[in-house]
Amino acid sequence: MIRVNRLSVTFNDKKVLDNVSFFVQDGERVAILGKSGSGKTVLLKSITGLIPFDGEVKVEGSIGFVFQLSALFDSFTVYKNLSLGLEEQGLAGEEIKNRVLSALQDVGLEENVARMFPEQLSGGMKKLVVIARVIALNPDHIFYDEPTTGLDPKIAQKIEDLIEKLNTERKITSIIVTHDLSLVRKLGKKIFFLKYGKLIPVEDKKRVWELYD
Amino acid sequence: MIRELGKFAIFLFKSFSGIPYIFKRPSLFAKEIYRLGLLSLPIAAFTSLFVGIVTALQTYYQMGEGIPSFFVGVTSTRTIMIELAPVVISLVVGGKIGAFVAAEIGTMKITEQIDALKTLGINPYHFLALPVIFAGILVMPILVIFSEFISITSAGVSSFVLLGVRVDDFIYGMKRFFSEKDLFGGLFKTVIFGFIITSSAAYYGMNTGYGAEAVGRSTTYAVVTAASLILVFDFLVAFLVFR
Repeated sequence: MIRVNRLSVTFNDKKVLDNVSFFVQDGERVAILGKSGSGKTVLLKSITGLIPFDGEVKVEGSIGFVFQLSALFDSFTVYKNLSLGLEEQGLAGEEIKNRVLSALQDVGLEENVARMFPEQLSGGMKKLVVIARVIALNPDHIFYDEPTTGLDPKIAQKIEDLIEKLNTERKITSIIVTHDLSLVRKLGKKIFFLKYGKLIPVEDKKRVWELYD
Repeated sequence: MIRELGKFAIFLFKSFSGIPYIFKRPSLFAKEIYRLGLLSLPIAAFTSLFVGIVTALQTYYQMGEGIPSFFVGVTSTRTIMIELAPVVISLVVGGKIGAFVAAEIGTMKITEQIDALKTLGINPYHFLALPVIFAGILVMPILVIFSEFISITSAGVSSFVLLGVRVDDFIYGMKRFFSEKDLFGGLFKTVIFGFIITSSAAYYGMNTGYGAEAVGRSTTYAVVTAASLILVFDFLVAFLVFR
């Protein structure tokens, strides 16, 4: 469960988020739309605790974050990228190995990818590795920041399917921040539009265009 | 200025609160020793070679004719140990290390890698800053000992080849006026310099703003701050130790 109550974020005297409140139940799938610079990423990062905010955020369960820029650690192999969080949890070597390989398999990547460095991966593969890094930790909620931006349609489709699968099969709460309207149409069960720092619920998906004006 | 010092103090507190983390992940520390120390040996060797040659030539030139030639050994060695090796190597290698660390951490900041560490439950101060600072403190004295060896050797060889000072005389002068205080005083400085170089680099890297320009700015601040503080602390150590 994620409960956000009167969350506000201010940068250099500019209020990016203004008293945002919403509630997400476990296993729900939520899409948040908005223009560039409207504060969508700031909202996700605030809930995760990466950006200081005013207001109240209550999260039951752990959060995994799929970053827009992938945020893989360049100097580590894919295996190390996936195992870092598991090592931090104090898991044993064999269990780490199993979880890493299983996560790679879940996102449709082959075992040999584990030995590669991020610079050797395509944009789409990087995104899949980031999702694998997140699911290796078995989070209760996953935040996706522009998960399909800049990817070719085929890999974007693969990621859409993966998000849907993780949500329906594993009941992982998904909050997706995106510009991609087709992604919203497909995955957004509950849709919000972020405008002037306020979060507006979208009841009718056709109304989204009007909100961009 | 006071605000910046306060932020730096908080940064140090956050970093050093993770000292046990070094034992949890010793590979991070070992990696930094390799990157900051071993990979700096070529530039340290190159710099030291010329520091030694120039010191011998300058010493001979300033002493002039009529002074016993073993004094070239005395003055070159003591100047190298007390001042030149610690300060020149700290400035040259410090520039390399400082720019490298600040740019790397700064790039990690703007590409969300530091945020990613946090979401994996990893404290970036313990994971990134602390191993770098510890490695800097350990590596700088070792680099300076290496530099002193190369500089003194090159001073001795160049004294013989270029100035006609016998190697025996050079070594006699070196031994005759050797003082442990010179050696350890010089090395003591480098521990401080190592801390200054790596902590300012990690600090500016972690506080990088947004975009490529911010990484450039952090790198510049890190190098300029470290170089300035090295000179200030060089004065303080000279005032307190070598009076």
